Amino acid sequence: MSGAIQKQGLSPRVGRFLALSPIILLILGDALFFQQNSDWRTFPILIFYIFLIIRYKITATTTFLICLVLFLFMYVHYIFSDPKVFATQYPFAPFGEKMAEWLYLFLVIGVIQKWRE
Amino acid sequence: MARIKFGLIFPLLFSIAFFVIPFFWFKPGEMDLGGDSSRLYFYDPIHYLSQSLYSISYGAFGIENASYYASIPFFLILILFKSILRSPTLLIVVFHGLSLSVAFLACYLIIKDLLRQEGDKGRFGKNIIEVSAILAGVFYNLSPVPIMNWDHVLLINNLVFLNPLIFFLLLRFFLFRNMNYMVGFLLISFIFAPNFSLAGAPPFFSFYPVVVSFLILYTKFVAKKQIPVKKIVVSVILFFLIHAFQLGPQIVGLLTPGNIIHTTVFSEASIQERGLSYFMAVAPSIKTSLNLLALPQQQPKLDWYAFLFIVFPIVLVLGFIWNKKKGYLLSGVFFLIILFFASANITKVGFTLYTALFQIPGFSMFRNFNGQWFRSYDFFYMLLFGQAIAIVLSSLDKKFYRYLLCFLIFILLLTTSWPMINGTLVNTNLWQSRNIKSRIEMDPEYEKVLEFIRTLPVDGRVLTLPMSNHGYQVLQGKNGGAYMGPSTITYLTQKSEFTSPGDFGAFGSAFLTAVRDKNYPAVKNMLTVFNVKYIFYNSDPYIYGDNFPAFPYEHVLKYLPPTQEEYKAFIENLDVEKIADFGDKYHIYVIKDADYLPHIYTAKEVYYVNQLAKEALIPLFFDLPEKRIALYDENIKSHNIGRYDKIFLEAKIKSLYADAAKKKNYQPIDYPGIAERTSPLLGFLTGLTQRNKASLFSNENKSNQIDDAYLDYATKRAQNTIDTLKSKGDQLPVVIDSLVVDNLNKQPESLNQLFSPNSIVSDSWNLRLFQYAGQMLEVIDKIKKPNKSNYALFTNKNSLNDSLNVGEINVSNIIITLTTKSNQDKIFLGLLADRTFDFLKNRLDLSLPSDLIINYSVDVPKSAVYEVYRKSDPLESSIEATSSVSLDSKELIAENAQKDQSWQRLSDVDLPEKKDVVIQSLLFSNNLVKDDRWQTLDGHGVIPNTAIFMLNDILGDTQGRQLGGLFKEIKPFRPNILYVISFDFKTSGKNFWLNILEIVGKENKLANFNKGDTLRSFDWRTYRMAFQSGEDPQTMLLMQIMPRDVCLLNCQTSANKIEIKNLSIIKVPQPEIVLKKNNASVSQEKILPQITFTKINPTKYQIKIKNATNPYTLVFQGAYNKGWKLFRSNGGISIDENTAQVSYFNGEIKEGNHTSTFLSPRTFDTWRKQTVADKKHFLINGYANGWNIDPNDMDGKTDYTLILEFNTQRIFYGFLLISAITFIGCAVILLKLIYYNVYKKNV
Repeated sequence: MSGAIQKQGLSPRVGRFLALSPIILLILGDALFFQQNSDWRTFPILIFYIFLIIRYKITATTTFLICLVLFLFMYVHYIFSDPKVFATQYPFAPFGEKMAEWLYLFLVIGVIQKWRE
Repeated sequence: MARIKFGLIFPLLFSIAFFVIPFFWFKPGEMDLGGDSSRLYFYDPIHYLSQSLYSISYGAFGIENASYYASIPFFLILILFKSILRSPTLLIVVFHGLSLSVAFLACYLIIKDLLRQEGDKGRFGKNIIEVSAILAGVFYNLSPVPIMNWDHVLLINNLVFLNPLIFFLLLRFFLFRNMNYMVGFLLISFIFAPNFSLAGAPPFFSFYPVVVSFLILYTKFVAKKQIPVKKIVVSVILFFLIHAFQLGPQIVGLLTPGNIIHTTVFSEASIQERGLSYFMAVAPSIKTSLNLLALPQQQPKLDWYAFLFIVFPIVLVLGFIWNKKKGYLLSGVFFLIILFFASANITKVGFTLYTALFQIPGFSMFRNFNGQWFRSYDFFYMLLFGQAIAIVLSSLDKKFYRYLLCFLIFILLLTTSWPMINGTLVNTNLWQSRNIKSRIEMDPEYEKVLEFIRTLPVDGRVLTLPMSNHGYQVLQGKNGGAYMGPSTITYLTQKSEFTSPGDFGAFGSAFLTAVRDKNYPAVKNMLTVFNVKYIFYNSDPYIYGDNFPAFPYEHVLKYLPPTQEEYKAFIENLDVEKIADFGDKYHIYVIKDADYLPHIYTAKEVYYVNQLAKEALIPLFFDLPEKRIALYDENIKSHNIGRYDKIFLEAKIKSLYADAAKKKNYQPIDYPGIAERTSPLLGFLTGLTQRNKASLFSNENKSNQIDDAYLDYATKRAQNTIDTLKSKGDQLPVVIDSLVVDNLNKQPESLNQLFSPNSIVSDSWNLRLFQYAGQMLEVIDKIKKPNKSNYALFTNKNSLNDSLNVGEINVSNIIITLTTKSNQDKIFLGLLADRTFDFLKNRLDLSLPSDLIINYSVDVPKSAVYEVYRKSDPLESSIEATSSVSLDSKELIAENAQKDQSWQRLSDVDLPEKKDVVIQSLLFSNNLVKDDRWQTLDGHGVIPNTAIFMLNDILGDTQGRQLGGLFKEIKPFRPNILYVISFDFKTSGKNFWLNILEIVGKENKLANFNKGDTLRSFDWRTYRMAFQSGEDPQTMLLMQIMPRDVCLLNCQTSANKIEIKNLSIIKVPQPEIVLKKNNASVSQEKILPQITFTKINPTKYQIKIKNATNPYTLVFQGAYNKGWKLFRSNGGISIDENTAQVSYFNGEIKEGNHTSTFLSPRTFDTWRKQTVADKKHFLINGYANGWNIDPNDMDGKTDYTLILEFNTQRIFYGFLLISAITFIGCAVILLKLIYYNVYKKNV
């Protein structure tokens, strides 16, 4: 973890949590507050995450754990929603579908990370 | 985990269980044969095989279809199986059982091999490998997505077991470099060649390139072995050689311009219209989340088990977390690639890239992308899951959790697939039927029908009645179910057949219209020219009536007899002879020889028709005393107009009313900057070519040579301006200029009166409306100038008027829903918008003339005296409309009209050779508005006090809008006819809608919108509108007038007043006018040769010609194709005219004993022979093949024999030889290798 965080006396686990929580919040914010997907939000968030990976040496396991969290969100939305939610509402995507898109992107990042590791 | 020796026992047990499952699906004798491409090959593979042996289809006119060859080996295998099993039911269940069983075994073996590669270092125990492999196989067979396809199995469904089996063989080949496996793959691919043909291209290209890439990378980076490049090269060559019999003819077709395969792959129309448009329509409904959960797409509701399927993606992700090997990662990479292709909706960039791929020729095969990629996705999901479950099981410490997880997964798959196991899933009802089951036991009487039809001696076509929409035949089974699928006669009797109007191609609508109008002479003429000899009629009320209220008859019911009783009457009117009855349901009739035209004949009379092929059937609607005709159309350039026996010239209608009623049918491409799905970042990737076209538009803009693409683009661009008001309307300011306000109560004469410089200096509502107006004004001005549009001026004006109406509605709705604007602002905007659209519509000037004159134009090719005919309308009542026809101000008087005559003969005219001769038809049409009665929505009738009435007086100030206004029924209704509405009106600046609505069908209570317009004026104005009625005779046609405005201010005092007077609704019949010229002397002098023809097979005929002293036209009544060639024969089969079985036209045409000989010593007798009259091979009769042959073509001989053969079939025999040699060679090599390996082990 970064020297800055260590100086403050935070454990690596807490430090990692602090580094990752903006990502989770950004993803949730994108999914909850915007009805339509936009590459203008998606790719900056991904680039930010890649920066965090390089900066805080986040492992592929962490990325896949994020995927599990995204799965959970997608799943909860899926089972508690009316099937009509998943009918075509183009260009508006339901929350679960946005989670699925993020999940895919994080799987891609995770697989690339794992390969390099 | 306890050391349980699974060995081979458990996999074999599972394998046997899967084999047995289909045995629960059918009772003895039952078969499920129907669907889009049918499974009749299970019922009768021997006769079905004959369809595959030739590249000409038996259906309809016999078009080329080189993909049929691919099925030959598969059907031969089925014949072998059927000879052992005897029963078609047993054949079906055994085949399905083998599919499931082999699929399971292949998946099991694949996962075992992959895990063993990783497990050499001891990570996975034997038991874990066994359990994981079994679970993977069970998942592959029983997960919800693959089991859904078992209710309509196609040949493509062989991929269920082919994909994993081939993957296993290729995996073994790459890992062990053993050619046994590759040869095994080649032999299997040969047997199941349909899955490796052009018809199987989408699933092939969605699987094999990915699989080969995976295996190469796996071998190199995971197994760390060398790629056997030389063996791969040899294998690829062997693959093409062994598939030469089916790939060869298809590749030749692909590279031949004009060939249907070439057009399908390479034309821009096919990329856009069949590929991209379809893809864009389907894409929004495919969900990535459902793919990840391994659940089916596009389901109306979630099944109960859906929430439990979270276990599969969680296992995959846990596999990633606990994985330590590259093999799993590589599988993951390919899984994600396939997921992208199967989902498409992953970021806008991804979607943009996907749409860009459609520019690649052939990629449009993936238009139904989810359907084409799901098999590949299912396989890679299994691949990943099998490895993931092993990783997860080995990571769990406690055996209890391992047992529990395996048990839960197994139970989940078993219970969710139970409907498939017990047969419920495949025991379906026929679509849109009244609970009619899809499985049948074949009626023994019907089997006699098929046998009888096979023995019919004449080489003529069969017309099957009742006809259906899409060529589906419906047959009742002995068990109460029904077969609904492609016709059994086409596929099982080697007889060509018509089952639907679509089989008549471009002539279908002419045929339907003739039947609807009870024009039996025209129907009979068409059957003659289409070579129909037999009629098969199924009079079973079970298959045509209440049981099938919609599909597959909903379209034909508008034209053809709606009941079996009326069908019987229809057949009687055709004057045919019954030759056989089978039970009380099946009847076979024969067309009399006098009304029959053989498959091959020489033309006695040659006609010229001034229409393109598909409209060239005009002569058939006249009397045809001589049936042996050849119709030449405008496509034939090299003709001598003098040598035709008859000339038919159809006068083309040039009617403003018809133009104004016509709707444009243009399929645009997505334009950059307009398509919503285009990512702004990478918009250029969406349509590199479209961007080039956009720049062309601007060039064309300058030169004013616009076309329909530009018009569509420009209109959409203007519409886009209004669409932005929806998102930004509340933020944009409204500039109220006092000078403009004064102009809002009168008709504007220029845009400057509505948009002052102050109001459009910065972004505002005013500016946006001004921009829209400017864009539309530009288009309006351009269409009035000469341009390259394919549509008439008034059609373009009508289309623009519709766009203006849409724009007006959108602006009005946006204004009403503004939340940050005051009522005063909204009123101002409403008035500004109204005046803007008034200005644009005034400029557009869609005013129709009041005189009812229809102009016709005809190019006269030769000066002569012409007979003039006008089409009688059998449904026309003299009360409704009449017309008089004149030429050069001289009225053409009708001769005494006889009842039931289709054509009314008018005075003859002497015309010079000239283009654009104008004929006028003056109409006298009675007003259909018999009284002033209007109705409200609830049916309450209202009669205003005077001819001038005010809507609000009847309905009150605000009630009109809520209650839908007033309606008037327009009757009597006639389908496909032009109506013109005209009236004078005044609204004092208020807005009203005028709508034309159709309520279709007997029970349908929904109103379909036909046409609409806005009514708004300050002074009295005359409104005139033309519209075309729909084609369903069971239609109620309504005219609706309703207020449009929502009151915002002073609602008590402002009233919705409209004054209407002089209301008139008339029909505008547009009868066909035809000019005809007889050249009697030409036909009387003609001496025709005698011909005797014998069918060798559907692609080869022998024709003996005698006494060919003069030039003649030889006609072959098969679909025109340049591949049909004439060759000289050295002698051929000796055709003795005395043994000819049928003769026509006093012995001038004879038919020999027809056969269906696939291979014989004479198969190759046309090789290296020159063709005859190839440059004089034309399209005639709108669809058939004609050759103009004269004695010089045959070196002056008068007696000779010709061979007519289809070129693709000739090529096929050569490729078949190559494939046969390769197949035998591969089989021998495989046996040798196996023997060598076994012998070597023993030694």
